[in-house]
Amino acid sequence: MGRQESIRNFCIVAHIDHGKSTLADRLLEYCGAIDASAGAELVLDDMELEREKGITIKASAVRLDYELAGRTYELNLIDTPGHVDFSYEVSRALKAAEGAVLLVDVSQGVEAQTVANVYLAIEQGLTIIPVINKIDLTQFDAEAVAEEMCDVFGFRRDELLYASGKTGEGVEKLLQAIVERVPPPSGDEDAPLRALIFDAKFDQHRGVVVYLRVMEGAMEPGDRVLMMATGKEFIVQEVGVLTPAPRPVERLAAGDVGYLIAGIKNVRDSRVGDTVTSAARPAAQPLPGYREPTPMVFCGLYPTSNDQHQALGDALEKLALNDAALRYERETSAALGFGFRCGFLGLLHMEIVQERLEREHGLELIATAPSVIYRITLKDGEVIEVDNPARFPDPTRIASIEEPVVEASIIVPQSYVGPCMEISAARRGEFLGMDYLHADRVTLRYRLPLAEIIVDYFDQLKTVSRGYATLDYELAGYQQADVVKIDILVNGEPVDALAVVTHRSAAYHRARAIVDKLREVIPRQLFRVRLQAAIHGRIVAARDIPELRKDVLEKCYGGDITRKRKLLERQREGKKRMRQVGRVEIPQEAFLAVLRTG
Amino acid sequence: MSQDTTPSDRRKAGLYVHFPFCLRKCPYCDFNSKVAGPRERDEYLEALRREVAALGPQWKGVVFDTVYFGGGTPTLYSPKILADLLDLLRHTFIIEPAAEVTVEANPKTVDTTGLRYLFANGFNRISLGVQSLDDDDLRFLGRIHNSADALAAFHCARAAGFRNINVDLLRCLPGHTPESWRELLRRVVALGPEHVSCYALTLEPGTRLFELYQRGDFQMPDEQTSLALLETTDHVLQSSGFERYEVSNWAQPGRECRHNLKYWLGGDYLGLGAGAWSHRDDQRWGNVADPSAYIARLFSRSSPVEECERLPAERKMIERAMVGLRLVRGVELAHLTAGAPEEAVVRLHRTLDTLAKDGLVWFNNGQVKPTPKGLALLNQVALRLMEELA
Repeated sequence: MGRQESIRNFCIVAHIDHGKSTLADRLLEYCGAIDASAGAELVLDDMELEREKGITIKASAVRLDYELAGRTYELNLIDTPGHVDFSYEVSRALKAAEGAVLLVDVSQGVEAQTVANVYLAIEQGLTIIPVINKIDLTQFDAEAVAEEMCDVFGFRRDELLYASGKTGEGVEKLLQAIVERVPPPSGDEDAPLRALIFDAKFDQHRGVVVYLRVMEGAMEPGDRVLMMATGKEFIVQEVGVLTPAPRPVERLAAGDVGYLIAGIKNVRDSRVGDTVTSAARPAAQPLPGYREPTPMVFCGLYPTSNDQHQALGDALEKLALNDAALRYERETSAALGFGFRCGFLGLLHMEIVQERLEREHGLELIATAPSVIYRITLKDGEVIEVDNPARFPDPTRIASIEEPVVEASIIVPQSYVGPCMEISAARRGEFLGMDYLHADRVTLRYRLPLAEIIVDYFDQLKTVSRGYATLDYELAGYQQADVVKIDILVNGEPVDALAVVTHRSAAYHRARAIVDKLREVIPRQLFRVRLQAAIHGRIVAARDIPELRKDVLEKCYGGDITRKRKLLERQREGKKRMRQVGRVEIPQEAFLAVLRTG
Repeated sequence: MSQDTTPSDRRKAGLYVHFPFCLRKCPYCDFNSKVAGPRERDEYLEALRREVAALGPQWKGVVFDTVYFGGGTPTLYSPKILADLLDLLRHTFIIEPAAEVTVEANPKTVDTTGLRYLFANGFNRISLGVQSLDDDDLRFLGRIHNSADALAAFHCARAAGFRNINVDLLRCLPGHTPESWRELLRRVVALGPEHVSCYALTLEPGTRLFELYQRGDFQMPDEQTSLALLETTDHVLQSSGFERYEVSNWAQPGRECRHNLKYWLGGDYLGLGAGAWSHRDDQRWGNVADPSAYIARLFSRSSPVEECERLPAERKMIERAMVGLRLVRGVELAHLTAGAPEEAVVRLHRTLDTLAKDGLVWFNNGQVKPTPKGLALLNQVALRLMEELA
C-alpha cells in the first residue's frame, strides 16, 4: 500500500462544549497515544482560560496509529479553534485535512457554531463524518438529534455514528469510519515543496515550532526553506510528528502532518496560512487563502498603579511570543498615565489577552473602550492614521475622515433574516446581497463600518436569532465617514481616556447615553462630580453625581466588628480597580461606559 | 461633659450573654435570632451553663465591670432563670458589685412583677426594644407589641425600680417626616429614659423586608429626608439633655452604656452563647451562630468557637480607629498607636492629616475626633485608613 494510502488527515468540528476535547482524548487513548490511567488530562486544551471560556484558542495536531484489518493507519487529528475572531485559523486547519468529524451533543442538538464550521468544511470539500456525542446521557433523544442532522445537512441515517467521549462508546467505530470514509491525501512527493502552516508556537528551548501539512514535495533536516509571504529563509533543524509528544522523523512528505523546527525566533516569521517552500527549488505559487493577521480593534491598556507599567510591557512581550496577531505600543494618557495601545483581531481576542494579562501575570488593568483606526486627511493635505480617539486632531484642522469598513457574512435561519437586517441597517450597514443555503439558511452580506461591529453587533445578532446567527468578516478598505469625537469632561476637565468617536447622526444621543451611564457607574465621592459630554467644544449633555453624605454602619457592637472590617476590606479591593483621575475615583466600568449607544 | 472611662476601667472586661430566641422573627431583622420551641430553649440554657463552667478558669484574673444579656429576646426566659444565670456568672467570674448589668427586653414579654424580680436580683439596667410609638410603624416592622404595650413596659420598668432605662428606636421608616418623627421623639423623651439608641432602618439582603422592598411594596424616605430625620433626632434629644456620644447612641449625663463603650474603646470582652464574640489582647473569636450547632458542640464537650483571628498591629490600629471614631468625643492618638511599629505610626499621622484637611476628623493635642461630616461618612474614613495603612 502506498505511503499516502495509509494516511488520514481529519479535524473535529463542534460547537463549544459539545465534547470535542473529551472525545479527542478517547481517540488518543484508544490508539495508545496517551495512557488512560494518566487521568482526565485534556490533551488538546493547554490553557485554563481556554477551559473556562470553553474554547480552544490555538490549533494543535496529534498523530494516532490505528490498526484495522491488519493494516496500520496514520491518523492525524488537527484541532480547530472556533469563534468568529479566529475563523481564519479554523479555515487553515480545515485546509490541512481531508475529513471532518462533525460532533453534535445529544443534549443540545445542532447549534450555531456547528453550522458555521460545517459549511466551512463543506466549502473545503472535506468528507464529513457526523457523530452524535454524549450518548451516555440516555435521558436525551438521540433520534431527534439524528433527524435534525439529516434535515439540516442532508446526511443519510446510516451515515450517522453515535459515541460517548465519556465512556468511550462508539470510539472504535468512529476510527473505522475515519479510515473507511475519509480519502487519503494526495500530492506529488517529488513536486516542489508546498506546506501549509496551520499553527505556530513559541517554545522557550526550541524557538518557534511550526505545525504544517505538506501538500506537495517533501522536507528534511538540512533543507533550506522559504516562507513565501515574508520571504524569509530558514534551515530545517528538525521535522517530526506529535504523538502527542514531539517525535522527530527523517522527512515529512506530501500528505503528512507534523512540525518543523528551523531556528525561527519569532512567531511572526511563521504566519498561519503561509506556504513553506524550498529555497533551492521554490514553488511557483503559494497555497491559496493566505491572509495577513490584521489587528482590527484597538484599546488602551493601563495598569491601575503606575509602578506596574514595566511589568505590563514585559507581559505583553511574553504574550506576543505566541500571538502573531497581537500588536502593542507605548502610549500615554493625561488621565491614566503610561500604558499601551494594543491591537487585536477582534473583541474576543482582546478579552482573552486582557484576562491572560490579569491572570497569568497578576496585573490589574484598566482597559479603555475599543476603537478602530481612522484615516484623517488634514486641511494641509497630510494624511494621518489615528487609533486612539484622544489623539483626534482639532476639528478645525480636519478636511475629511475615513473609517475602516468590513464585508460581513451572516449565516442565519430564514426566520431571523428580518431582525438581522434591521440590526445591520441600524449599524449603517449597506446590504450587498443574500444567498440561500441548504436547509432553510440564508447568508446575508453587508458592508459595515468596523466601528459599528466591534461593540456588541455579534451579541445582538445572536440575541435576535436565538444564537443561530454566525458572523464572519473581512476588512474591505476605507470609506468616507461623517464622524465626530465626543469629549467627556469630569469636573470641567476633559478625560482623554474617555473620549470616543461616533457617527454624527448618533452623536447627541450617544453623548447623553454615555453621561447617563457614567453617572450610574462612577461611585459617589466626597464632593459633587459634574459630568459633561462635549462635541466640538459645545456641551451637549450633563449630569451631576451628588456628594456622598452618609456612609456609616448604624450598629457596631462586638460581633459586628470583624464582619464590618472584612466588608470594608472587600470594598477596598474593589477600589483598587479604580483610577484616580484628578480627585475622582473612576472604575473600569466607566471606561467601557463610553460604548453605550443608548 | 459625660463621664470618661478611666484607663483602669478600660482594663476591666465586659461579659456578654446571647439569647438567640424570639417569639416571632421580625421581617427587618438580620441578627442571630430565631423562633424555637421550649425544648431547644432549655437545651440552650444548659449549653450556656456548660460554656460558663468551661471558661471560668480561663478568665480567672479578669475583673468584669459590665454584664449584658442580649438577643434575640432574653426575656423569653423567666426572670428566675435569668437571675439564676446571673448568679452563676457572679460565682464563676469576678464581677464587680457595682457592675452595670443590662438586660434587653421585648416590651410584650415583661410585667412589673417580673421586672421587680430582675431588679432585685442584680439587673440594674434595661434596654427596651420599643422601635416606635406609632402603631402603623410597629405593624410595618412586624413587632409583636403595640404602642400601648411599649408605654406600659416603660412604666413597669420604672415601677420595678430601674433607674437606667434605654429605649431602642428605628427611624426612616416609610412615611416618616421630620415633623412626625419629632412628635414621636417628644413622646419618648417625655417618658424620661436615661438612654436612647436610635438607628436608621436599613434593609438587609436576606430579610423579608428587603424582599418586599425589591418587589416595590413600599418606598423608603429619600436621602434628604433621611438626613433630616437624623438631624431631628439629634436636635430633639440634645435639647432634652441627652448627649450624642456615639453614631447611634444618646445618653443623659453619666448614663452612657459602659458595656458598649468597651467595644468602641478596644476593651476586652467575653461573649457567651450562640454567635457571641469575644476579644482579649490581640485575639478576637466568635462562637458558632446557629443555636443547634452551639448546643451540639457544648453537649459533646467541644468548643463552640467557630472563628478566631489574631490582630496584628496594623489591623488593630485600623480597627481601633474604625470603632473609636464612632465616638463623638473620639479617641486618644495613643490609644490608636499603642503597640504599633514606628513606621505605621508615621503613616497614621499622615493619613489623619489628610483626613483633617478633608474635614472628616479633628486631629490635635493627641486626640482624634470625627467631625459631624466624618461621623456620617465613617466608612469612607475607615476605607481611607485601610488604603494608607494596610
